[in-house]
Amino acid sequence: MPPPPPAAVDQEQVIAYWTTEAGWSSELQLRNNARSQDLTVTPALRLPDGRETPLAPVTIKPQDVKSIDIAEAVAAAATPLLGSYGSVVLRFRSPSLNSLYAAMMIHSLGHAIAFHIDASAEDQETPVGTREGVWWLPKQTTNDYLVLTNQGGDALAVDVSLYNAAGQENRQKIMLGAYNSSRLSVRTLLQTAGFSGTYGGIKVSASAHAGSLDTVHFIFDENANFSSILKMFSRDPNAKVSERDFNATGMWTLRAPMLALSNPDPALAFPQGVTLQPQLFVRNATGKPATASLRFNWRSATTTGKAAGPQLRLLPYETRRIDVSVLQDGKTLPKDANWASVTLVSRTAPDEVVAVAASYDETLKYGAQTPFSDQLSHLWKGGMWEVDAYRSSIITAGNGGTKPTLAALSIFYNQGTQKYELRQTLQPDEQMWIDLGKLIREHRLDKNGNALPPDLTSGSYELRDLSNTGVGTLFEGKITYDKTYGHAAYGCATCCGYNAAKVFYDPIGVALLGTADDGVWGYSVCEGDYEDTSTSFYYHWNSAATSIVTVDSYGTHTGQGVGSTTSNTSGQLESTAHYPICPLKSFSPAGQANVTPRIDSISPAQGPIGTTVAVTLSGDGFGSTPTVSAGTGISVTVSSHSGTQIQASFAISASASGGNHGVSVTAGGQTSPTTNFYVQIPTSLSIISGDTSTPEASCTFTSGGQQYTGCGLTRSFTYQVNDQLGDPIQSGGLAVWDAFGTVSPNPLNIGAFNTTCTPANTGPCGVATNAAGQFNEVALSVCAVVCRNNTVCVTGGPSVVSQTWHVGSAAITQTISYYCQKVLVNGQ
Amino acid sequence: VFLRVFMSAILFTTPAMHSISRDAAKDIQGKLTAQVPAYTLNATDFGHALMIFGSRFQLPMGIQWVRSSDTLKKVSLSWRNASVEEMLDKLVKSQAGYEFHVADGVVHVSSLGEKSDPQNFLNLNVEKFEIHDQVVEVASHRLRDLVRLRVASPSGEGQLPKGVAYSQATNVSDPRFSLVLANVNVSQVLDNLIAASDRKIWVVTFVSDNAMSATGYRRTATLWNDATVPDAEQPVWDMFRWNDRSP
Repeated sequence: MPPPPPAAVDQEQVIAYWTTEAGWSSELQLRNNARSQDLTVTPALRLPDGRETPLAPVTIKPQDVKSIDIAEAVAAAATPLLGSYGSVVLRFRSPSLNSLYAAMMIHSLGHAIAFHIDASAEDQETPVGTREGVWWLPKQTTNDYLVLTNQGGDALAVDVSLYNAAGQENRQKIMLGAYNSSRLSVRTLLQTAGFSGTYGGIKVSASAHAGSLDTVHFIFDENANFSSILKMFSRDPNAKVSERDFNATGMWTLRAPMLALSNPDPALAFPQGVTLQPQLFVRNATGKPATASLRFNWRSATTTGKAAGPQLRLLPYETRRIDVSVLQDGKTLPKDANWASVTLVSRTAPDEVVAVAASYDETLKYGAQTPFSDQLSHLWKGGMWEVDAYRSSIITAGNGGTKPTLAALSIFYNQGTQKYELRQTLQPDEQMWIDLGKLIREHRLDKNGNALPPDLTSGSYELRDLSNTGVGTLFEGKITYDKTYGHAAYGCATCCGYNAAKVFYDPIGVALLGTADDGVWGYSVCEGDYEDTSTSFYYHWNSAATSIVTVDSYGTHTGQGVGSTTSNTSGQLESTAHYPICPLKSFSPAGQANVTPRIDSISPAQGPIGTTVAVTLSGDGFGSTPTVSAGTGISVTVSSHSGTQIQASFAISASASGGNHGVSVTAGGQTSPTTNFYVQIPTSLSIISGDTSTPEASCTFTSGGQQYTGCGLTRSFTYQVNDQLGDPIQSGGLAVWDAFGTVSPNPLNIGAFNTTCTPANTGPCGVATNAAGQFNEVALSVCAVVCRNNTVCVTGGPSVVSQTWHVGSAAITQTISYYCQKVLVNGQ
Repeated sequence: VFLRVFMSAILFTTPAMHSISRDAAKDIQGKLTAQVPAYTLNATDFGHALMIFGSRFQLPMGIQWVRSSDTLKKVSLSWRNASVEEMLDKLVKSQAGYEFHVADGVVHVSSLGEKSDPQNFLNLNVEKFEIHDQVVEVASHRLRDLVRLRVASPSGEGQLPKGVAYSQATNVSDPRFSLVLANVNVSQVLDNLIAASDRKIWVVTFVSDNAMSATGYRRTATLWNDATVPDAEQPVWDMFRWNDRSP
């Protein structure tokens, strides 16, 4: 059984931007990632100066996603915030920050302007760092906002640097107070700097409290019905490629999974004749030259393929635009290809080379985006997908690894209580491509034979790598496209790492020369429970003392000598560093390993209550001074022992509970696994042999000093004593005696009993079972005057009486029916 | 079958009993003269002590003892390099008035005067006692039925039951035997029962010197418990194997 999850603590995520300014709307989307616990989130809107207005708490069912219209929420709040903007803090109690996936969808009302902003969280352990991005102002009418947010309670001094395409820098300092945010215009800053051009780089740096900084950069053009989010990357100067090298290539790898190519996918419902201009902006965020290479995995309506892209040598701080439409010349990329997954590889540290992809037509009205990310994961928790008359969603999952993997897409709906499951084996670089509108429209059945309800309009989703648990190889993408305006907005999922690794058993008990398998639980921060991550820890198991225990590559422990030591392993898991990324982290779980004596057999393996049974335990590792325990009600005395055998007497109390008792041997401070000793309670008697009845044509008996003559019979047989399961109790020496109750009815006028012991109804008196648990009834008989009429025996009866047999310390009651011509025991 | 017929023949009548006693007498003499390096006897009372002693040294014994303040005291005796007979002598003489003698291969222990006491049911004459192919428990019950005719209290005819029921458990391995005796006393019948069966010690426990039944016989009790045995159940006796645990 996995260990219990950690206790819930206060958690806080921040979304850098919301707005209720004229013409804008904000929709907060909250997804509960947990597998089984409800999640209650209390949002609070922060104004740029840090003042907070709490909103009503929202409770979300597991796997469900809820949408909150900020304008409506603001109207219900105590402080009117219409016409404002700022950041949002989301507070909740959970064992981990990753229980919640949150995003803000920003819309410009009446325009094809929509983009999403993911939540982040303050990381107080990262003092120094930068936010790296690209600016792009494709037209003179293009507006932009660069939002800087201080998530923490300490003032934050930041340098905002803008670079032109060639890498020339303009820097200015900005001070952000506690929880403050600042909304800048890159266009204005460029004008101040005197920079020209349509694209370049952005760096926002902090020399202290950098983990409190979040930035968002988006551009929009209400006239052109255009918007684009220009993703910015958190760069930790101390980050190493090994922490982010999920497919073990040794290089910094970024992927953009859904670059819309020149020939739009009909699914996007763009007007006939629209041609997109896919382009990439690749930026060197460092002051030294950097190289990068591009490759494409493209797909058309009927086929897929791979293509190598250009090799890039970037000057310090240079931003370069790559026009992918030029590559779609039928030589590098097919002209009819609709989509491409773009992979960028560089020999730099993480986030030293960053990239942004955009694909719009020349008017900018029609288009789509796909974000670059280095993240591969075994589990992605996706936010809201939407399918209705105006919108539809496409989800993709790709294999970024070097081996095939089985990917599972689960689509949750009906408040997270139902799911639709698809599975597909993906070759390296291969993607599965799910058009949710198509699934619903065409009633496609999932792997379980279920179809999505035809009226379904939204839900959440997850992608799971079924072939890899600790470190997965899946990348993901999702777009939701607007059929009215022809605009597609992407949405991200959040990766799910582990923040703890524990061995299955601490201590692990291993019988001497026996084996026991161990493994490693990883605490999944999204789902809030432990998962088996053992495969990530193969080949690194060690024992601190191989004379006591050895461990093979897979965690199988073999007991070599009775005693205690430790075993450990190490491995990498996706972890939970600066939210929301999931870098690789090394874990070294360890535990105590106790090698115990081993019981191979116990003989006999059962015995009746109230007796003392000589028991032989065979096994190994019993040492020089073993003790034996058999649980409550059994007192054990060891009479002799060797390393492999123990002779003991089990004194079973009359009050011992019936059934299995665990017997263990303790030697050298270690206690063996238990083996069962079954305590038998004499419960029934069965007549097994020699059942004969002899009529007494004339019998005599003495009563009150007088002798009487009557008729009757004598029945004799052998009784077998049985236990509570009806099995024979094969135990000798159980004292046996009987007692009769009151006779009723009594037509034979039986007024006296001669029982096994004298005086009647007392005992014991030296009669006992043999080794098979048997005893003889030699004279179950009756002699009655009424059975004899004029010297002739007649029939009559029954006189009925209960007879209680005392067998050892138990009592078994049965019914005796005396007739003149027969005697029955329990009707037999 | 042949053995049973043979046994029946040799056990028939009193002279036959004497014939089996010659071998038994030799056997018991051998046991009594055996030297024992060391032996310690602990028992709850005199009666139990005799039973334990007989079991330990496998002596066929017939024991008559009377519960009294002296005989009910705990017994704790030790010997070194003594014969069984010497130890038995010391044990028996630890209670005033008791003696033992060997007759017909059986060690009899009793207090002086009990042998001829008319109030002792063991001295009742049994004209005929006949058992065919039965175990000792049934034989003992038969003997008890005979004795109760004389010892148990007579009751009014109207109150008497007109039927009796039996149930008699025995050990599976109990041997069956046949026995026909005539004109012997109850004590001799008991001697024959222990000679023929695996029960080797009979014990009659008298309640006290002056406790009499309504018919004028000395009241008896059992070693197995302290319960008072009613007149209708009188008399009782116990029979033990050598390997039976002490009650």
